[in-house]
Formats: sequence, C-alpha cells, structure tokens
Amino acid sequence: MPATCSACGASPAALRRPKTGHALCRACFLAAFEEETHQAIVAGRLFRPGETVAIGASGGKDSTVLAYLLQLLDQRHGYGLRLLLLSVDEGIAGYRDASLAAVRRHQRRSGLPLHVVSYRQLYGWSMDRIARHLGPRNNCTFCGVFRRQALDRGALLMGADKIATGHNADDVAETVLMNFLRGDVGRLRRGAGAGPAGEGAVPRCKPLRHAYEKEIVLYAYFQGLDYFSTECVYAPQAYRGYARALLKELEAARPSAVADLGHSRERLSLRSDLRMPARGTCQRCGYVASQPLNRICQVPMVDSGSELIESHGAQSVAEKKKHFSS
Amino acid sequence: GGAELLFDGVKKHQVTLPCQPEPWDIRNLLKWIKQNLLKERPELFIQGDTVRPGILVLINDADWELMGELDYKLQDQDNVVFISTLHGGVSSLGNLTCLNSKSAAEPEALVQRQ
Repeated sequence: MPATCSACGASPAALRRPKTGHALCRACFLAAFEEETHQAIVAGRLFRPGETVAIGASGGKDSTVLAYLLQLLDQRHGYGLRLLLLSVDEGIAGYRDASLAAVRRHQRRSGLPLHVVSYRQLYGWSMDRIARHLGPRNNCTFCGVFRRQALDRGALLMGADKIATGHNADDVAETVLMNFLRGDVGRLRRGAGAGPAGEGAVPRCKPLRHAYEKEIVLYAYFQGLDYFSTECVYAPQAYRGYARALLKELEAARPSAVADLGHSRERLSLRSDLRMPARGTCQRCGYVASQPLNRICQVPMVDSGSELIESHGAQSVAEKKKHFSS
Repeated sequence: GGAELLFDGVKKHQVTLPCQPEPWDIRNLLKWIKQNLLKERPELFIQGDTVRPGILVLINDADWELMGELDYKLQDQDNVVFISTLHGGVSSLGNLTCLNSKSAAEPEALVQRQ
C-alpha cells in the first residue's frame, strides 16, 4: 500500500523526506542521510586531517547520532580525525544521571574515549543548587554559560582542537524565532556564519545543522541506536518552548519551514547603522563577554552567592591554559 | 486499568482490540489509547483527534504519512510505533489483533506489557 522508494524503485517507502517530499525506503534513507552529512562536512570544511574533535555527548538522540555518524564517516571517507566523547554533568537530579548512563553505553560500544566534566568539580555548585538559589527564571541562562565554559575546559583537558555539537535544523530554526521574538539583534548577527573565537573558546561546529530533527529520530530508530532523552526538569519555564511549539505547528503546515528559517538566518543582513555589542572579555573573570561583565558576573549576589562567582572567575582562562599544558 | 503509555524509554504493548461495527483505523485507535492507556497528561500525546505535533507515527516501520495517517485501516498483526521527538521515548503497540466476540457482552481489550 505505501509508495515505492523513488531512489531504488524496488522497496516500499518508509518515509517521505520533509525537505524534498521524496518517498524513500529504509536503506535509501539511511544512505542519503549519511551522504548528506558527509557533504555538509566537506562543503563546510569543518575538519582537517589530524585534528582531535571532542563530540559534545549528552546521551540524547542528536549527540548519539552525531557520534555514531562521525565515527562511521571518518572511517568510510578517511577524515583522519581523532574522536572523543565529552559530557557535561550539570548536577540535575533525575535528568542527567540517566542520560550519562546512555553516554557510557555508547562509549563502551564505540570504543571512543570519554571524559565527563561536572559543574560541581568546576564551579563547586550543581544546577539544582543554583536553581534553588536564583529561582527558576535565571537558571537556564546560567546553565548555558556554564555549559559552554565546561565544554571548553573539557576540550582543553582532552587536547581537542575542536568541539562538535549535535544541534539540528530544528534547533537552529527555533533559535532564529527566539531571537526575532526577543529582538536580540546581537545574536541574530552572531548566529549567521562563524565569528572570531573569544579567548579560551575552542572552535565549534554543528555537522547536523542541516538535518531535520524528525530525520535524526528516524535515523536513530532504523539503526537501532540506543539513546535517552527526557525533558530537563527546568525546561518548561524556558522561553525556547514557545519557539518550539510554533515551529512544530509551522512544520505541520509546510515541512520546508524548518530549513527555510535556517536559510533566512544565513542570508540575513542587518542595517549598517546599528550599534552592535562588541565581542570582548569580562573585566571580572576574563571569559568571553559582550559587555563589561559577563552574564554571571552581572548578577548581584548575597554572600553565599559570591562564592559562585569567585569559583567561576577564580582563574582567568589564560592561567588555566598554562595549568593544563604544564 | 490498562498500562500507562509513556515516552520515557521503549515500551512495548501487545494489544488486542475488541471487535466493533466501525472499522479500526488510526483515528479510532487514538481514541482507544486515550481512554485505555493514557493515565495522565493526555495532551502530551493527543491534540484534538490526532497526535500532538512532534510525535512520529510508524505503521509497520513506515511513516504514517505514506499510509493515510488517521484513515489507515488497521490489519491483523500490524505494528504501530509512536516516537516522541521531544522526549525521545518510543512506545509501540504490536501485534494488533481483533477479537471475535462470541459472547453477548463485548470483551475488554487485553493489553500485555512486554
């Protein structure tokens, strides 16, 4: 009853690809998805032979597919990479422990080295403790800044040249919507194309940024990949939920919307007379910031909170680099 | 009552659906799931008479878009899989069969969790 695969003309189709509308069988879909990811890596010049790449691995579907694919494509096409798994433990009970277990299972099956950095180790605070201290509205912002730093520090520790994350086309589209909805012109401009890396920031790439989340899910399902996701317990309060709900409705009406939003972002040009936030460093802790103090250092804290800022900014990144390389 | 239909991990259910005058299509299956399997927060799974956006439906490992979506008529031994893109969990209803009712009273649907 279902249509025949438009690629091989032999097997019954398993899905209709959102971007093209083509009906493909399971085998042809897997092959097309792998080939497209390879083309995105080559066309984007994401890697150079001999590089060490730390894959941000959360145990979820995107990073599991990313790690699986990078290992497969590296072997198939000879990228010449040294691949590592890098996980961040934010200290969110009931959420991160289970997904870290999935990362460890992937590590055992793939044989890739794994390093886990935790907020508790780095900052002395877990996200649960931060959330209790700050309340639910600010904690996601902190988590984002902390995670970025944690990945950088973990990558430096592991001797990685680059960090690869599993952001997909839906994530990109949601971010575009969020930035428009909040009038965040600085992020809209930063998002389009790679900007210069700040001090201590390890270069990043998103090899799956063209891939629809739906196809990532189906790739993982058809390949029998083991992953774990539960919504973060703090996510219901996060603004991204609105953008996500809107995107899902848009996609249902017009499947190309996800890719189209990404195209719009890449072709976005902002008025030349706009005053843009400059990329500098925080006066207090030395990390990347677009204002004199970065987001964490800005928050006024009572005494118990200042220890949080101190641990975050305890050493400048330059000092840390020296420490790790000695 | 019936088992919970959850999306945190893989859950497999063997389902036997009671015979009824109307044919068993996905539309009716969703209604049946809502009444018999979803214990709480049905809005996470069902919106109106269809699944919430972000829930993928596979019938015998093929996207339901290719099979007629809500209008697909279920056949014996069909396997229906629901995948939540948000939560990542997979829930499958396998080996669907339709009971032939020999007694006057309609038998309850049997759901066995694997």
